[in-house]
Amino acid sequence: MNRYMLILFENKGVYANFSPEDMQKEIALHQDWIEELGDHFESGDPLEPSAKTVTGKEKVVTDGPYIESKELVSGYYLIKADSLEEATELAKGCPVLRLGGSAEVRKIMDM
Amino acid sequence: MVRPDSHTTQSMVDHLFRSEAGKMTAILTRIFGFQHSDLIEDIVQETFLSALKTWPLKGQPDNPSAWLMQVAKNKAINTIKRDNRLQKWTPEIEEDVDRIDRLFLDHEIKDSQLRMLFACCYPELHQKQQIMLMLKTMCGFSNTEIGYVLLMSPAAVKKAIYRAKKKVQTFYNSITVPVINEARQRLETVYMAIYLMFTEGYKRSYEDQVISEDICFEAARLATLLLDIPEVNHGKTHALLSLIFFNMARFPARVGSKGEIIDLKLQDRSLWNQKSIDAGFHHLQLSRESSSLSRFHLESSIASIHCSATRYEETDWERILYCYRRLLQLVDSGIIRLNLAIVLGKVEGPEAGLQALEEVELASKHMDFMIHAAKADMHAELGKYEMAKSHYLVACDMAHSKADKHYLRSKIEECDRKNISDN
Repeated sequence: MNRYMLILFENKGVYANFSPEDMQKEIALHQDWIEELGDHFESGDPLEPSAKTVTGKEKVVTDGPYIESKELVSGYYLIKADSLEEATELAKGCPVLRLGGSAEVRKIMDM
Repeated sequence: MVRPDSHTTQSMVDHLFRSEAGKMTAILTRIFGFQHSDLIEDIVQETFLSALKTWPLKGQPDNPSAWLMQVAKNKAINTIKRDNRLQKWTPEIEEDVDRIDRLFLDHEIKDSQLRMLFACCYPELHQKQQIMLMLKTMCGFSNTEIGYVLLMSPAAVKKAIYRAKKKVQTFYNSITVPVINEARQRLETVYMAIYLMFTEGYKRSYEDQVISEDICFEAARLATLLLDIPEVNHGKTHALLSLIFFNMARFPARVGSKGEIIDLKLQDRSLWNQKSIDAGFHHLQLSRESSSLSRFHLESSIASIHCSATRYEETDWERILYCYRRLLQLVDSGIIRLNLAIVLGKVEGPEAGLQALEEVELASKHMDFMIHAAKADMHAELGKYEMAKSHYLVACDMAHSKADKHYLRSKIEECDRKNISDN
């Protein structure tokens, strides 16, 4: 099996109006999805929203990830799948999609 | 990395976050004061967001509640370190941190919640504001959820809560006396607010069982907090808990598969929640430590009599009638008179019931559809389906909720069918 990284993008402030009850339900959805992935799941990490970006030869530092974008990388998952197609199919179950987020699926280079 | 245990999802207590939000808000309010409620809401929200981001991937902590409290505490400390205008007590940050540490200890958490509960029941607030504030700050309901329960727009809820918080602010900050003195003085207001919160939930139970159960559970949870007040007779608190649990027990049987209302008479009593009934009896027993009889005692007794009858025909109407008569001596209200008349009809027959209903109608100006529905029931019992139908029609006209209207229409159809089969 190959390894794939799902890079998750979420809208800023998407959870701002969630009630505690909504949050708890959201956690259950993620837990259920990971359970569903079964052996396809390898690991993952969430990322803090605050960031710095360093650009170009001048090494210009700006606050935050690309400020102009509505979406930011909120975390990643490492999963195992036979093909990009299968990995993509698995990514479709990711709960962030329901809230307007997206997931980029990239194969990890096998050398 | 260890795979998250798949069984943890189920092990998470239902609505844990609601009660945890209430706890956090109560402690954070003691730290930052009522005037910083936006900041407090942000910390609570960020704490849950941290849980959302990490629990699914890293596995749920063994003690979710302790985890959440720890994260909230760290966020509170960081907030104070970042902005020294928030340092309230002393110029020394270390001392503030120490104090925050202490506030997150178990007994302090309870104490904070009690303080918050009394603040929400500030007598200057009207009862609806008290309920909204309790749902918001103690039970973690969003404006949308509160609006859904109280039939208001989320924007209206937001405004009302803002005003309520403004009023409570100065009052909360002046709570320096030990909570027990507060308690003695204002326990009655708190009882009433929790009772009304419960009745709001109960009212919605025909339309949305989930949300109404949540509200009733939360009302019970808040009432349970009162048991921690020392040196107070808790009989009345137990009576309140008892009536909440007995009434909740019937929820599963009150609504049919198509969302229709099912009469007490026709309910499948095997669907009544036995655990809830047991809890009702447990608290009923403990309620006897009271030195005086309250309306809660009588209302829980009435509910217990219904829950004890295995069939509708076995209902001990005479004991219920006795309870209603005692209740009327304590609280004179139209709805209690109406219920008393209905029960009288069960004990002494529909004619006596109808006569009593006439008196109720004469005595009170603002009667809703229920009096006509009750009259209609009694006429139907006497076989006077034409009369019954006309009263059901009036009742249907006056009823507001969809479920009530639907129920009454089915009663009208029933009258039509019986009328035809009789002729």
